[in-house]
Amino acid sequence: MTQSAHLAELGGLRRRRWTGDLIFRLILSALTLGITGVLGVMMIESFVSASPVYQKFGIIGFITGVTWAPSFTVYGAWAFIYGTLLTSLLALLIAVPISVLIALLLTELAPARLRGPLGIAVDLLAAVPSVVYGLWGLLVLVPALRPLEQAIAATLGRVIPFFGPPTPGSSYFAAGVILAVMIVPIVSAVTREVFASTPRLQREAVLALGGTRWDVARTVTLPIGRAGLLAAVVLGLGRAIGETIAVTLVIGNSDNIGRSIFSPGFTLASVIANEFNEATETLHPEALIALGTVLLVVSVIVNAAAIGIRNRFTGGARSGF
Amino acid sequence: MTIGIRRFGAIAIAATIAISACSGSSTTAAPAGSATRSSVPPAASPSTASGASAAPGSAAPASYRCTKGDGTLNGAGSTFINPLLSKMAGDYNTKCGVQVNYQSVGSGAGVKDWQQNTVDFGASDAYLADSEIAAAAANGAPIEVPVTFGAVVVAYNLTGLASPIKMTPDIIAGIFLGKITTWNDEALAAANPGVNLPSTAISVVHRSDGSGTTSIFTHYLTAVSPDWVTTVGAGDPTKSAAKTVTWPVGQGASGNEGVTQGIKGTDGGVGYIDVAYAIQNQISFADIKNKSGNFITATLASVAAAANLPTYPADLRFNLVNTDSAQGYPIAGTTWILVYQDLSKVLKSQDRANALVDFIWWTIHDGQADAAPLDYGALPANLLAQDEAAVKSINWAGAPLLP
Repeated sequence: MTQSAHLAELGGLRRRRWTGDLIFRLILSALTLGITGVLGVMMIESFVSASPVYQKFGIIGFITGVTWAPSFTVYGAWAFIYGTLLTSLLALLIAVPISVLIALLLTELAPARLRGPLGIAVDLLAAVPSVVYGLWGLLVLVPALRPLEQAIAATLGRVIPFFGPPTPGSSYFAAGVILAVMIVPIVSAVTREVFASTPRLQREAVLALGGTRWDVARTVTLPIGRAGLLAAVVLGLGRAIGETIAVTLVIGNSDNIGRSIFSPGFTLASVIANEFNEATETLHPEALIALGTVLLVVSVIVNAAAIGIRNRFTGGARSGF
Repeated sequence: MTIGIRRFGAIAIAATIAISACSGSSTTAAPAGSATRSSVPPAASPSTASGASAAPGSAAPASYRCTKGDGTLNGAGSTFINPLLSKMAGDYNTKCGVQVNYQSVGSGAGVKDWQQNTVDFGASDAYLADSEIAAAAANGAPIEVPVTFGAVVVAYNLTGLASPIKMTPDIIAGIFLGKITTWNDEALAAANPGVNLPSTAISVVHRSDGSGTTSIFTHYLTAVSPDWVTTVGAGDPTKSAAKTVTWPVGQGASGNEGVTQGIKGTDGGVGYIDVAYAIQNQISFADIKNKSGNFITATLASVAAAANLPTYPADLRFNLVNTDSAQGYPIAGTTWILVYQDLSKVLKSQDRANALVDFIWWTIHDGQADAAPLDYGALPANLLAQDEAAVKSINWAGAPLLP
């Protein structure tokens, strides 16, 4: 008697749980499909809206076109793709070593009492709104970088045109530096978590063998944290590619492809933000929408490539994505 | 035609004023300007009350009708006119109790909103292109009402100069095409005899956002420099000028503030900004040689002189760059308020249409008193007359909204 009652109760529980699970699953599926659906609609919509541009210049022609001249109804995206890739790459070159060093300091070297406050200070940098970074860049960083740019242009620039004049201050270089400052907190926060989770036993083993802190970092922390470090780089890259307002304030906003790293230019995101409001020339709004599509595709390609590289380094299955 | 008759009837009543009205068609110097303004007949005002005519800048109150509608009106467009239109809207709200919401989203966006009929009126620093009129054809014919004037100055950052640098059209084109690269270039030295120009490199700053300021400036360059037309392009020929162009040199910055910051931050910097902004922020700007060969400083008076054309086209689509005016500043432009001629096609109630027409009427009369304190140019008399005719042609299914 009691047993059958118990079974019945269990059955009811199962039934309830089953219907509950079903509803839960349906809701989650709908949300997930909804989000991916929005992405799909966005891509289709932007492709359709921009189709007159593709019809006129061809998709390849639009992407590789070096001239952007609304007054002549000529639109090519290459100057902006170049600007986006150059500034993001520059940001990574500057930010990644700094972030790794910060993470090492906070996990290996800093006194335990200081780790918490220092970590919070670095994390807080991520909470600063990008327009504040941009204004700081425009008013402080650009004037400070100008003498450096001029000095490099006057020496190294004589041999390699890529480091040559003009040096108005606002430039790809300034944009790369400001992006680096902006992505350091993200990259270092993730890296720090990764480094902090390296097995204690292995670290202590190195120390017990007479190794220095540097030996610990070199033989344990860095090799084990490599996958996590690359994931952090991907996150930082994602932010650098899409950043708009801070870049726009310091990059100099020129439609031309700058010959030098110190010349003004545009990124995909900053040209859209700058020109869309008053885009009244023929095909100009359509061309800017097309740039948005290109930005989306560039982000996907770069991120996919970064994930691919990380998986090759690590055999693939170590982290979640 | 009927309006003309009405005007002349009114002038006959105000006999003393009629004399000045006859001489009003010639573009004479500034003192005559104030006389011609008062020649606008009182009968032209919509109210039956015999208020004095709206002399811009004068304290004389004009009569206005103040239809409330549902208490709000919505407009969108030009950022250039925003400070003036906001002031006008505030004053109008005080006087008539109508809340005018103006969104300063940019001329291009304002035209789009107006075409899609999401606002009651638009405001644009460039007159409508034929294609833009065609795009809004479902809503009927547009009326474009010039409301105010602005000028664009060539501002620079050079220390140790006592008086403003003089620039010719060729020099301005040369600088912004990247052909003149230092401040002691031969052309600049020739235009500024006796001035000790430094050998500093010229660092050009231009607008990066599409802008009515750019539109006025590029239109000027298009008018004076064949080189500019071939290398950079004049833009859509049916428009006043290009708002976004591919600058051959220099760095871009957003807004008048951004360009000013760019100029101030660079020794040898040069860029173009709105005159109101330059005056309020006390930035050096160049005297520019006009069509008559005079070097002119941008002031409210010289902009007003440039805007005072002998005749204006019937559709009020005109440009003010490089005008024939001897004392006129050559780089000037206008902001238009855009409305549809037959408001029954776009608005829900005639009451709202009346409120809209009353507001526009007020902006070209009493509202003009707000212009000078904010460094905007007020309407000259002969243009005001044409503005009045245009506003009076606005109707509700054929029936005029103003008496």
